[in-house]
Amino acid sequence: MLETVILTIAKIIIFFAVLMFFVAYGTYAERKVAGGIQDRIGPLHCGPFGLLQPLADGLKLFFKEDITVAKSDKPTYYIAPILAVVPAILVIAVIPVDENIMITDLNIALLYFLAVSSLSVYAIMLGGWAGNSKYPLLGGLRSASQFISYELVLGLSIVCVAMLVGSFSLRDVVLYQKDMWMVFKQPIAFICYMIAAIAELNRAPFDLPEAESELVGGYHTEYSSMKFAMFFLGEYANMVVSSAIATCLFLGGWYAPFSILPFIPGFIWFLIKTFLIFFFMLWIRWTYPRVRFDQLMGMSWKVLMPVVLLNILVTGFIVTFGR
Amino acid sequence: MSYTEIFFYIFAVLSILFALLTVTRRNAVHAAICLLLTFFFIACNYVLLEAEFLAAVQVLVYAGGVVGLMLYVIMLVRKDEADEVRQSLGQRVIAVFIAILFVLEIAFISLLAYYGNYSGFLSSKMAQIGGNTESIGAVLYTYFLLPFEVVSVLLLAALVGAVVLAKNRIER
Amino acid sequence: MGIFESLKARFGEAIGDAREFRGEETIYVSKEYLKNICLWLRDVKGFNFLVDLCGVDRGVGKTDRFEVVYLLRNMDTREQVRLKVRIRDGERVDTVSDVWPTANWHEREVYDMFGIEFEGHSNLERLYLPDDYEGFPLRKDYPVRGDTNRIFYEGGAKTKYKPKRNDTTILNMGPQHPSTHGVLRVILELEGETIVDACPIVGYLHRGTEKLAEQKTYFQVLPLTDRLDYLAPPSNNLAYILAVEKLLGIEPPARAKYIRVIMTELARIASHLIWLGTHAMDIGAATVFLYTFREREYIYELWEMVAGARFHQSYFRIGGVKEDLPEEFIPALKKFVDTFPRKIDEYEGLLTNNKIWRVRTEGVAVLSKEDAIRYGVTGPILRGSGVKWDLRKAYPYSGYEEFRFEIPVGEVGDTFSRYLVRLEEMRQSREILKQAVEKLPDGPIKFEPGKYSFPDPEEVKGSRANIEALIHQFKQVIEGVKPPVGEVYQAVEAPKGELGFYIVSDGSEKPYRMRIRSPSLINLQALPLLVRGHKVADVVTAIGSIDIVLGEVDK
Repeated sequence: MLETVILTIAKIIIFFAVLMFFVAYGTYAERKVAGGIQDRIGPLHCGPFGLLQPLADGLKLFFKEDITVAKSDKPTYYIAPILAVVPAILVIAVIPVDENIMITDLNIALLYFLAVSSLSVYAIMLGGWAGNSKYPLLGGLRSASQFISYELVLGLSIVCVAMLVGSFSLRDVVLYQKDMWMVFKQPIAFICYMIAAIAELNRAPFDLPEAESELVGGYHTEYSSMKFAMFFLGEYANMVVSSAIATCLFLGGWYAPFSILPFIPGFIWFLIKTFLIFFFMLWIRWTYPRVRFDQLMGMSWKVLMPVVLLNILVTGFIVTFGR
Repeated sequence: MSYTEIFFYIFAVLSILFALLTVTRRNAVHAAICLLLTFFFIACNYVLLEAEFLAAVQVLVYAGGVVGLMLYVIMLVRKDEADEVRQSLGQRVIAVFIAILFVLEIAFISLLAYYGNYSGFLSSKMAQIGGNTESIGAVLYTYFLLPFEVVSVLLLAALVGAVVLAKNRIER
Repeated sequence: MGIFESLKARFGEAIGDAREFRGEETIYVSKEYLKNICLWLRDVKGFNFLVDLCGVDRGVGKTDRFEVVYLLRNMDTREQVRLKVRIRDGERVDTVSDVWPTANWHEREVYDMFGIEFEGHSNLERLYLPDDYEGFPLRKDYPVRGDTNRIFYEGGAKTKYKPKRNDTTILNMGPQHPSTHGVLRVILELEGETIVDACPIVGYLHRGTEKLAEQKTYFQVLPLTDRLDYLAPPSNNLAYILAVEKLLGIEPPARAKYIRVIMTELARIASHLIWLGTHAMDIGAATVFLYTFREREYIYELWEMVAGARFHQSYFRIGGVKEDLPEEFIPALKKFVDTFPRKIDEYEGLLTNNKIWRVRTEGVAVLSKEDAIRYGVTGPILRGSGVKWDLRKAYPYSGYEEFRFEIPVGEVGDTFSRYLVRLEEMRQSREILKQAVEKLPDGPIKFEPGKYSFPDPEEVKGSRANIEALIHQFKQVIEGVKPPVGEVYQAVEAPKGELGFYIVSDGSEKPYRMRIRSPSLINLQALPLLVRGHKVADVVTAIGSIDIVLGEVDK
C-alpha cells in the first residue's frame, strides 16, 4: 500500500516537472517559431540561443507589481488565476506516455479529460467578471459561449474514437492503433478535434476572449504580475496537454510511425508527436487572421456539429455492420 | 474505518457545506461558485460508489455546462445592480414544501434499499461485468428506452422554444 | 456662362463681387441666402462635393470680422468655386451640414476655433478642445500660448454622449487602446456585441498647427507639416510647398519635380505598407506586420540617403528641393523597384485568398458611392466605393501628367475593396517610380535659389563666397519670402486622401491664415456610418480600413 502511494507521488512529481518544463519551453518555442515565421530571430540574448529566456520571463513577471483592482470582487479575483492552471495539471494523470509509463490507467480517462478540461472555462469567466471592467467582461462572455459550443464538438469527436476502440481508457485507445493510426481511420474526427481544441485553448485564430486588438487583453486585462502569469501558464499547460491527448487519440501515442525505427523508445516518439502538434498550433497562430465572434459560433453550430454528428452516425454503422 | 469511508465523510461534509453556502450567499456569482463545488464533491462521492461514468458526466454536464450557463446569465447583470436586488420571499412556502418532498423521497429510497434488498441497476456487480459505462448504455437503450426518448423530446421542445424566443427578440 | 454670372442671374443682390487669384474664383455671398445658394449649386450646378469649410479672422476691429469660406467642387466637370460669407462678431451663419453632411465636423471645428455659431447644426460642440476650454484659439487676439495659468480638461469632460436607447451598454474605446492607431477615442453603444451607434471623439493630439503656422515664416512652417501625417511626411511637405509656390506664382525645375514625385510615391508606399501591417494585425494576422515593416525600413533607408533624416525629412524647398540626389540613391531605388512586386505578392499570399481574411473584410463597413461623396470622403476609401477620382489625374501637379498609371477602383465599397485598391495603388506607385527613374532629367534642382530659398552654402562661406549670396542668406533668415496678397488652395493626393492647404497671404513674410484640409479627419467622420449594425470586432476593422493617422486627424 505504502509503496504504491510513494510510487504514485513520485510519478506525479516527475510528470508535473516534465509538464512544467514543456510549458516553459513552450513559450520559448512560441517566440522562436514566431520569429522564424516573421523573418526575424526571436529570443537571443538570455543564455545560449536565448535558452534562458523563459526563466527571465518568469523572474520578470514575479517581480512585477501585483495590482489588485480596488473595486474588484476579491475572492473571485484571486480564485480565477488558480482555476486557470489546475485543470490542465489534473489532466496529466491519465496521459499514457508509453505502454507502461502513466500515472494511472483510468477506465474513463477520456471522460475524465473532458470533465476536467471543461472546468477551465471558469478561470476565464470569473477572471473576466471579477475585474469589474467592461473589456474583460466581454472577453469572459465570449469565452463562455465559445467554450460551451466547442466543448460539444470536442466531446463528440472523441466519441468517434471511443466507438471504434470500445473503451474510454487512453491506454486502450493507443493499443488499438498499433497497426494503423486513428488519424487514418477517423480523419474527420481528427480535424474537428484539432479545431475544437484550438478554440478551447483560446488560441489564434480563435483567441477572441483575449483578442488584443479588440478587447485590449480580454479576460486578463485587469491582472498583473504572477496572477497574469498564471493565466499564461494555464494556457500553455493546456496546449501541451491537448497536444498530448491528440497524440494518444489520433497519432498512435508511443508507437513509431509505420513501425520504423523501433529502437527509439516509445516515450520519445510520444514527445516528438506531441511537439509536432504543438508546433502546428503555433504555426496556425502566426499565419491566420482572427475570426469574428459570430463567425466562430456559426462555424461550431452550423458546420462542425453536423459534420461530427454525421461522422458518429457513419462510425456507428461501421461498428455495427462492419465487424 | 476504511479509506473509502474517510473520504466519503470528507466529501459528504464538503458538499453539504457548499450546498448551504450556495443558498445563503447574497452575491450570485459566489453562490454559483459554491454550487459548482457542491456538484464537484457529489461527483467525488460517485467515484467512491464506483460510478465513474456518472461522476465524469456530473462534472462535465453540471459543473462544466450548467453552472457555466448560469454564470453567463449572472454576468450579464451589472454588478452594482445585482447587489441592490433583494430577492422576494414569496417562494418560501413552496420551497419548504418541495424540500419536505425531497427528504421524503430520499428517505423512501434509502429505506427501500436497506430493507427491500433492492440494489438498482448499477450495482458494483454490474460494473464488474463490462464497466459501468457500457451497462448504463445497455440499460438506457433497452429497459429505459421510452423514458429516454421522452426526455429527448422534452429537451428538443425546450431547444425549439429557446430558438423561437430568441428569434422574436432579434426581429423586434 | 461662368459660375459667377449664373449665380448673379439667379440670386441677384445676394451675390457680392467675385475675385480671381491664380486661377481660383472666389465669390462673396450674403449670409441670408447662403443655404439656398449652396442647395442650388449642389442640385442645379452639380457641385456635389464640399472640399473644405473654414473660418478666417480678418482682424480685431474690422466691421465684418469673420469670413466663413466654402470650397465647392463639381466632380464631373472638375470646376471649383470658393464661396465666402462675411459676418460680424457674434453673428450666426446657417449650417450647410444638411446640404453636405461632411460639413458637420468642419462647422464644429470653426465653432471650436473662432466661436462662430451655425444655425440649425445638430450637435454644435467643440471638435478638438475640451468642453471647458475658454476662448477661441484661431482668433487673432488669442495669444499663441493660450492661457498658461489654467489647466483645462479636468475631471474628464467630453463624455456627454447621449445613448440612443436605454437597454444598451456604453463601451469606451480609447484614447488608450491598441487598435485606435493613436489617441482616437470612440464611444460605442452596444447591444450585446452589436453596434447601435459609434461616436468618434478627436483632439487628444491637437497641437494647434494652424495657429503655430501664423507665427512663422513660410519656410519655417515646413517642419510643422511633417508632423501631420507622420507616416508620409513628403506628401505633407509637397502639399504645403506647392501651395506656397502657387501663391508666389513660381514653378520648380523639371528635375526637382521628378525628385518630388519619387519622394511622395515612396511615401505612398510607406504609408500603405504600415496601413497594411497594422490593419492585418488588427484583424489578428500579426505576421504581415513584420513583413511590411521590412520593406518600410528599406524606404526609410532610401529617405535617409536623400534627406539625412528617416522620419521628418523637410527635404523640399520653396522652388525645388534641398540637395540633389546622392549617387547611390538611384541604384538602391532601382533595386527596390525591381523587388517590390514580389513582396506585394507575398502579402497577398498571406491575405487575399485567405478564407478568414475574406470573411472578416468582405461586406464589412460598406460605404456606398453616394455616401462617400456626401461625407466628403477622399482617397482610397472613395475609390474603394467605386468613384474613379484621383487628384493626380483630376488636377495634375508636380508633373504627374507625364506619368502613366491607372486609378484602381473598387466595386463594393467594403473593407476588402479598399484593401484591394490600396494594394493596387502600391503597384501603381511602383510603376510611377520606375518611370521616374528612367526619365529623371538633369538640370537644376531649385528655382532661383537665394530669392525663394537659401543660397548654396558654399557661396555663403568659404572660397566661393560672394556678397550677393550673403545678402540673400541674410534676407532669407530675416524675412524669407513675401508672396503677394491673395489666397490659394492647393491639394495633393496624399496616401490617406485629399490633403489640401488653404493659405491666405496679407503680403507679409508669414501666412495670415493657413488651413489644413486633413483627409484622415474627414474620412473618420464616416466611421459611425461604417460600423452601425456590425460587431465590436468590426469597429477595429473599420478604423483600420479608413487608415487614420492621429497626427493628421488632430492637427
